[in-house]
Amino acid sequence: MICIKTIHIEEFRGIRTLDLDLGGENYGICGPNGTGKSGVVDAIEFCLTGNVTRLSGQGQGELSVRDHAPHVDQRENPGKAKVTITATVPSLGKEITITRSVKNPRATTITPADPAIQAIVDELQPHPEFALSRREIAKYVVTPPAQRSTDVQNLLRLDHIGNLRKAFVSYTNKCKRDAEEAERTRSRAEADLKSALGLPALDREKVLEKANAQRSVLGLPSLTELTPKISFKERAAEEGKDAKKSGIAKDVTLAELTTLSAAIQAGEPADLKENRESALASLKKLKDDEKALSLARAHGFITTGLDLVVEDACPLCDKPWEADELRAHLKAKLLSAEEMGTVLENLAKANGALIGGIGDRAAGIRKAAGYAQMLFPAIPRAELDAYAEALDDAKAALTAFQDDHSQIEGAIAALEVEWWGVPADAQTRLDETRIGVAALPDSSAKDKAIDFLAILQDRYERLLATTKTGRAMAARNATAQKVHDHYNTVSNKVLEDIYDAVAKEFTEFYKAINDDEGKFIGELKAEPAKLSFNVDFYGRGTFPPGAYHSEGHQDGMGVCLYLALMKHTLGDKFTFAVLDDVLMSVDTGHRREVCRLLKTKFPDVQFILTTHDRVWLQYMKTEGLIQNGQFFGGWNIETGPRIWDDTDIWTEIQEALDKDDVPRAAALLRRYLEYISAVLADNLRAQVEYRGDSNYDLGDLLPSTISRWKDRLEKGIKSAGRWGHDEVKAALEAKLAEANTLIQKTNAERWAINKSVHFNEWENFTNAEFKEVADAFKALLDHIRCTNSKCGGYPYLTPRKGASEQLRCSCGTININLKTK
Amino acid sequence: MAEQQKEPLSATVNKVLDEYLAALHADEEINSEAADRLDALLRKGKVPKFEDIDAVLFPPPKGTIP
Ligand SMILES: Nc1ncnc2c1ncn2[C@@H]1O[C@H](COP(=O)(O)OP(=O)(O)OP(=O)(O)O)[C@@H](O)[C@H]1O
Ligand SMILES: [Mg+2]
Ligand SMILES: [Zn+2]
Ligand SMILES: [Zn+2]
Repeated sequence: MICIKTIHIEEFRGIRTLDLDLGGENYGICGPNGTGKSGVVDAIEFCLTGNVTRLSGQGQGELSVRDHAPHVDQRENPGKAKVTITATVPSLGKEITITRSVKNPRATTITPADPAIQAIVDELQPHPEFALSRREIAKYVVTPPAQRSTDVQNLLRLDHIGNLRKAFVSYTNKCKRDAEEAERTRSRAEADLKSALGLPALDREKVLEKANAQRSVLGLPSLTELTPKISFKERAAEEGKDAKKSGIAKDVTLAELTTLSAAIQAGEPADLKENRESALASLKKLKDDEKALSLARAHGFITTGLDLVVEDACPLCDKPWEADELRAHLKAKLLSAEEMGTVLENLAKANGALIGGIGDRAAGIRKAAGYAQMLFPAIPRAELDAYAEALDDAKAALTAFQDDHSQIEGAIAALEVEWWGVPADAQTRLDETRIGVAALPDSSAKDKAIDFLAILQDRYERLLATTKTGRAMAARNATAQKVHDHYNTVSNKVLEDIYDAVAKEFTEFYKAINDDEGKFIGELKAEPAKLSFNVDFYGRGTFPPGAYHSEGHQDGMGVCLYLALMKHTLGDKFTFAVLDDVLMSVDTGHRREVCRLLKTKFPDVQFILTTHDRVWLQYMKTEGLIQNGQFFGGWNIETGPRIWDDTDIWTEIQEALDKDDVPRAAALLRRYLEYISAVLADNLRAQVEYRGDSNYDLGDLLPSTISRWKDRLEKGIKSAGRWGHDEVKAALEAKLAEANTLIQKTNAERWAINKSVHFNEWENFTNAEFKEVADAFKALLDHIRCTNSKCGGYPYLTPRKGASEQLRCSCGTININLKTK
Repeated sequence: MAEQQKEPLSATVNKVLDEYLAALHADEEINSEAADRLDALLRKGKVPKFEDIDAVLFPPPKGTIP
């Protein structure tokens, strides 16, 4: 991934032109509602992915990047809306520039043109998760388990693992079917050989005996050993003489036709009947279930989405439904995943047996058709072939279902046909064939022997060949099964480990920001196609976060789960994340902990954080989470966000004074001081008159903050005296004296008693009078903040509650001990 | 580069494949050359088809004309 150095935005969302200098560091963007923070976030996402989730995500049907990403005044000129990001790629040690325009969002201009850099940018494209907005947090926390599974797998880049698993499943399935088919072919060849020999079972001795009996008729020597290369008919042909033979070995053929007739007479074989009935019942049950499933699918949720059916309307389309009814219906019809597995397994067995039985019959019929054709005159075989084809179709329908369970209708149709019943016209042809064969003249004993040996040779070789194929297929099937099993075992274990590790990390993060919840635990449990997320609730057990936890806590969990997932997925490639208003949801009591969490657990990640709460931004600064930030002081449609730079405020005031615009300078100073004294009041825990609406004005905040500053310095002096740190004591006394002088110059302490120096009067001051006031405040603020130019932060008290022990800045340059015992 | 623009394998996928290869090698009934070929196939980052898997597990013996 990358680290962002600068962002240049033109005519994008609510922004006309804007440049931000992040310097590859964490960066805060702060501003009241509607000032352009999300505009920046969208611009980053757009530049890196070509998309804006806010505009194209779920449920944003009417919105589009092309139409709505450009500034509204440039909606006819998407080419003007563009974003350029310069960044470093830590893994390559290179600097890059990426530019993208709404006119052609698929195309990026990347310099330098380097395939390795292109690859890194391409990697970001399908994964916009680096940007998380507050509304997306729910995606990880209160989402239904089936959807979470998809989201989390997508975030964890696990889709490929699932795809490979599917590839193995279909490979193994086909190997299994091939092996079964090979075994059926082999067993048919064995049956044929047995019937030719007239033996109930194959036995080396008996086979040789039968062969030798016929050979002796021909005066040929006895064979002594049954080998794969054996030639039963060796030299037999020399003995033959009849050129005009039908090619039918009368005895064997007649025996086979008789067996076939008997089988047809017997009707449906008992074992196959049982298999057929059970398969049919299971298929019908599945089909019913499929109806329920498609009903569910029509509403956009999947097999396991029962959890969703708690509302009175579909959460996706708002179509009302009878929640209880549908739920009950689904419950009644929906087999559990496990049951479904058993049903499918039994079906596979029954179908296998049926495929075999039907195949045997088709082979028998085809053989009969072959004999029919060989007779003089030939008996037409078309009717027999038609029956065999119908059998093939039935077999194919069952195989198709085994391949793809949605092919259920065909399988049911195939099983509802009485395959064992031979159509009348085909039966006529069979009878004719049998009569024709029976009417063939009996051949001489020698000819019979020659025919017998030829058939024996042919069928023996076929049995050898099919046995060989059967073995090979069985071996391949065994290997496939093993290869698949290993994959399942390994990938399941890895996934479980990942989920466990993520859950553990999540728990750690969540505990870190809520240090009161010591026994808290979070669990991620993977079940087929779903991922449940349960968290502890005050030791009462683990439940889905939405069950009992407050929304603020849920949001906090969302952030923690997100961070845990990102950390786990990207490892040291997790170099950058944009959190849009996300931390706002963390309750105010835990903000410092969140800052610390981000800072200490993710020191190498560049965070871009937005908030509308300036005190929050200041927390981020005092905690050292961010060094730089941008304050948006306002927004208007003509000019976009109004940039308000912390340090530039004095320049801006001076510029107003240069134009002799005292009212403007006064307004600027007042607003700035409001901002800064809110921050300081919080940092120093100033005693301010409480207001339920939190609407504190400058008069409420500044005087008490100033006196608190003096009070804390006095406390520091006392402490230094108590511990005998004379030098520190002297320095603090000097600081306090300086504070008194500077404060006096601001007149802030006299606001309450002297209306003419009150800040409300500033706009009526002369230029010189006001300049004096502004300079005094600047000097006072410089006096308070850290002198280390890299820090420049305002000091704050630790701990946050109870007796304060230390007054410090985030870099430690300010470090005043307040403990007196 | 013949394969254009495939997503590089994630760390997790690599981890699964590493452990998978180890499991295949540990299984004496699985030919270790076949295991290596299967591993190479899976690391291509594409979803293999039946023929692909079959070809790496059961290559035609050398010298035979397919
Ligand atoms: N395409 C656009 N053209 C013009 N103005 C836009 C466009 N898109 C958004 N805006 C406006 O830009 C301003 C800034 O919006 P943005 O969503 O960035 O605010 P925000 O700072 O994130 O606010 P909040 O704190 O409420 O989330 C808003 O006034 C918004 O109406
Ligand atoms: Mg916003
Ligand atoms: Zn719906
Ligand atoms: Zn400092």
